[in-house]
Amino acid sequence: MQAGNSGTLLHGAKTVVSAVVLLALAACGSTNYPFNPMDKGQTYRPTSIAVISGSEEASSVKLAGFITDGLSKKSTFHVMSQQDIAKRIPNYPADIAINTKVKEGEEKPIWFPSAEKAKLSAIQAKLKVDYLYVVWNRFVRRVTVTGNYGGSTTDYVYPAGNLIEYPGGKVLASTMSVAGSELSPLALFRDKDYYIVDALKDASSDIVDEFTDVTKSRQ
Amino acid sequence: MKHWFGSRAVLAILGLLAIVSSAGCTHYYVAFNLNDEQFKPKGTSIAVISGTKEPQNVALVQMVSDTLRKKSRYHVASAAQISSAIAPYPQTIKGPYKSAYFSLDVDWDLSDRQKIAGIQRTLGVDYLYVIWAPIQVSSDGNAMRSMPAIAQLFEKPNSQEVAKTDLAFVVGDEGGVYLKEGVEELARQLAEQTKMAVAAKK
Repeated sequence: MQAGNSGTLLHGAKTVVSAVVLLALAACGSTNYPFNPMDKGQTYRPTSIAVISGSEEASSVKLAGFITDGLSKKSTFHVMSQQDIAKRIPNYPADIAINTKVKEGEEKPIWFPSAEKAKLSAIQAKLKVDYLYVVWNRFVRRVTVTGNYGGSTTDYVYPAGNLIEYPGGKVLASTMSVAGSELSPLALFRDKDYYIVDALKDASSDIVDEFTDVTKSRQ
Repeated sequence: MKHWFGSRAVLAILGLLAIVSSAGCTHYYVAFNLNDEQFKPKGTSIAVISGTKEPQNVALVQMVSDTLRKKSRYHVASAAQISSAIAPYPQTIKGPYKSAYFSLDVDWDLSDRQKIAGIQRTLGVDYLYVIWAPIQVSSDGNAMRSMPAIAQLFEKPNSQEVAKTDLAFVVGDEGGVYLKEGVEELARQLAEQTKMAVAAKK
């Protein structure tokens, strides 16, 4: 009887915990717009593009790298490599401030404050590309959910980005997405960033697919 | 059912143990380790610098500098001296870790020794203590966060590593008491182990 009461209480507690985790997750970013055009009628010139990391934080740098690789393979754009970008811009990745006041769920946020436009224009001038796609990974989150039959832990990443056209510096599209990778028992033997990197690859793949669909640039 | 009850009882005991132990324990982890126990200081000037641009890292470094100034015989470079000598400051220095998301995946050989040596030459200090505190980890949006950190002490003239430090702090409590306690302990260990504690003054 004691065991039964204990079990009911614990079951209730676990349900509450799960609900709290889900609510927290929803509040902290479940919006998934991998590549959302500002204007669906916009046409794109499949010319040159550089994907730049808006931050020197490792996950943002990796995100820019994965998107660069994906676009190089799947799109008809001429995609500048990260090595070429680093050669042309001293101190790359540059710090491009991200607007932290953007609300979760916004469909087409412009992520950089207007004060950062000059910095982006200077980067474009050095790279001499027709489009800049500036990306950040906003944060990482590890969520553990428990239930009656066990539990799971997932690492999430939260990419953000804007595609900017030059000359002019017009923002053509926005990214606010999320991707996760569930930890397996092998996590004990893997690098500590394995699941973050895996989630970044997933997120990048989604972004590249939508990018090529929206810009009609699929190879 | 018996099995469930058994495992839950174990969980409950473990939970209680955690609560009891946390009630009596400190809220930091500081392990300052000299590479050579026979270490003898070869100078008295030191600069403590941040290995990242993260605000919590810069704030931690400032606290360590201030506390070390009080607790040791080191002549600790001021933030103004550091900022005027290194431009820009803070700047990112590749740290001794493979990744830093929920914890630091430490590899002591990964720090950018060339850059560190250049900074130490520029500052002209006998010792350079670089602290990396790139992340803060919160749980379920709790205001209290854990802040893992790592540090290396370098000695001139070749910026040879003479000590390593593993650190973990709790931040976000009212008044920042836990962090202050941890920093005091760090300054104490650094000063005592390098034989530069104030108490040793004659």
